[in-house]
Amino acid sequence: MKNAFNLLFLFLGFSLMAQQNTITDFVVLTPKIQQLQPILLTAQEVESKGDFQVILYGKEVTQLTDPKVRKFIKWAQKVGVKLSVCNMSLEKLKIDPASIPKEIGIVDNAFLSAFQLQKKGYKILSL
Amino acid sequence: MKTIFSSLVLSLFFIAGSAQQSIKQSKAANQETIFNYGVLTKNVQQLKPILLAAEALAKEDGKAFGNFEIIVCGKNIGDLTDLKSMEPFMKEAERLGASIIACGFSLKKFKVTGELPKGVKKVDNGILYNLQLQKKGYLSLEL
Repeated sequence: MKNAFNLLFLFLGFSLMAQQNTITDFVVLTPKIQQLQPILLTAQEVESKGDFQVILYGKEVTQLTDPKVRKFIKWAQKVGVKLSVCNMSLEKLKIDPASIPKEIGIVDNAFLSAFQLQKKGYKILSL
Repeated sequence: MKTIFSSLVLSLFFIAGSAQQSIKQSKAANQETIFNYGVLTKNVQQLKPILLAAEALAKEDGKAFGNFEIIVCGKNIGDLTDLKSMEPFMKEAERLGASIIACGFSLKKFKVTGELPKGVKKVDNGILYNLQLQKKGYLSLEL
């Protein structure tokens, strides 16, 4: 009798937990390298169990070859944030993709990726 | 004992039923989903990558590709009146069924009086229009 009760509550408990545990994924689109600091702080605070991506585009992507960016790369890895850069920006600025640190992913078109992630349900912040 | 078992069976039945219902609903929603897109930009030169994104999305979405609206605002809005450099963008937008929209507030503020390319629509306030699109469920980018 008691066992049946326990089983019933356990089952209901699990089904409720399954409904409440929704995972949120985030993407931030930014042309400013210096914004990586507040973005990474945000990622740390959010403590999302989901995905957290940052897509960089525009003129400032030239700075990604600068050793100063390493601290952001390490920090992003530590907090599980995926960094990507727009290949159209690299092409326009004549930057060799091979010169971009290998930890930074390369996407064909930042705007396209941002929309594709939104279609998958990501919450977006475009800065 | 019998009551407990029957309530257990009943609750299992209800949970399974509601799960099935939600799966059915999400399937139905997927079948009818139309993706609409809105981009707010301050830089006319960004029309190229934006239109390339529109092209890729149109291909990817197929019949589910809805509206693609590009709103131009800000101090460089006068670049829209450079009819020659706008020509390829207008052609591409027309081919894809994308709209290019000028912010009336910016045109007035930056005293742009030149002719806009044929096909460019005008709205009173680009920022408001973008928010209204979001209210309608448009996926959005503000550049």
